[in-house]
Amino acid sequence: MKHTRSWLAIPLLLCQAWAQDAAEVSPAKQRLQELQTEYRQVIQTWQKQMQEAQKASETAKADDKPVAAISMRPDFSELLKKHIAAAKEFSGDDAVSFLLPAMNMGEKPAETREVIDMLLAHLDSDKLGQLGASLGYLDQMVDADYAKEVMGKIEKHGKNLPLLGWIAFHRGEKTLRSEPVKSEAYVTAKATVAAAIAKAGDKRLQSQFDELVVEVEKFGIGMAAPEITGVDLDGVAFKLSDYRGKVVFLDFWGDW
Amino acid sequence: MYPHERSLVNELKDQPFALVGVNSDKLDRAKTAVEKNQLTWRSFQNKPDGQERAIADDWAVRGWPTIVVLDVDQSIRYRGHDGDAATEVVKELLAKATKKQ
Repeated sequence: MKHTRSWLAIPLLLCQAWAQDAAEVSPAKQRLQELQTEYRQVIQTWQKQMQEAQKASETAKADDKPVAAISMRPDFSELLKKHIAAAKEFSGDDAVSFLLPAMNMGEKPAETREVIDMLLAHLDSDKLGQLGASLGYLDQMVDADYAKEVMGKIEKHGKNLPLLGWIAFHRGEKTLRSEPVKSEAYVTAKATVAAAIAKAGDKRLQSQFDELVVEVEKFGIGMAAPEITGVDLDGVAFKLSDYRGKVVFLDFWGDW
Repeated sequence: MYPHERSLVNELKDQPFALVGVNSDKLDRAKTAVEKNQLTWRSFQNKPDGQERAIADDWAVRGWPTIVVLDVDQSIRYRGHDGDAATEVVKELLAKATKKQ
């Protein structure tokens, strides 16, 4: 009897190996890829509509007729529903992977809220980094009370170190931007944020913090401007210090 | 942005003031913009061909446009994205500079 079993096991194992090979992409990943394709299609459709609307409005203007309004953003509402459905169908990190891109799809605060509430059921996931970056905008995306509520829940859970790092960053940022670099308030805030970020191990968070510190400490009010030696648009060399003795409005610009 | 900057340059042309640009575009695009919009101020090329680092990297500029206002001693007096706020700082600094003279 034992023999028979092990003989049977071999083709079964082979079968499994083949199945894994063929389906290297998990069902969740495959669904996500489909939704990403759909996302691009929504944007393309919207771009086309924009172009057509632009043309129509030019014609209308030329004919002195009223100009129709153009929707300023693509309509993701159907796609948002699909992301939420998929998040309910799958679990754990897979569910998170459907929810993160859905955070910005809603047009109404209630829709954003629904997605984030669902994300909060996955606080044990280490894939929530993108939620962390958004925490600082929650007061604009939903409202200030909700922002507080979300941060409170994350802190109560207390184990998601990347998210706790982001919260420390968002909380400290205002102090770091407004207090003089040598003040006690600044030094304390910087140490608190740095400690939380060291525990977080989130590269994006680390680089945002590093940039903020450089921006504030090197380019804060009262700091000496570093020299710029460069060339103008005709290739002629000049320096920022050529303008010493004048008030300078230094404009980092591009033609958009 | 251009009309704001142009009117600032015109309004302050007799004062110790300079508008200096750092332009992030490809060179031909920047030149077209200057010509088309009749921009009279001088701009650095943010990253000329062959140069490794961009000026904006050295200045930790993340969002465009960014405005930095410098006083006559080239200390930073404003840094941000708000043209009106920057203009106000410029005018305060000019008022101070003319008082001293």
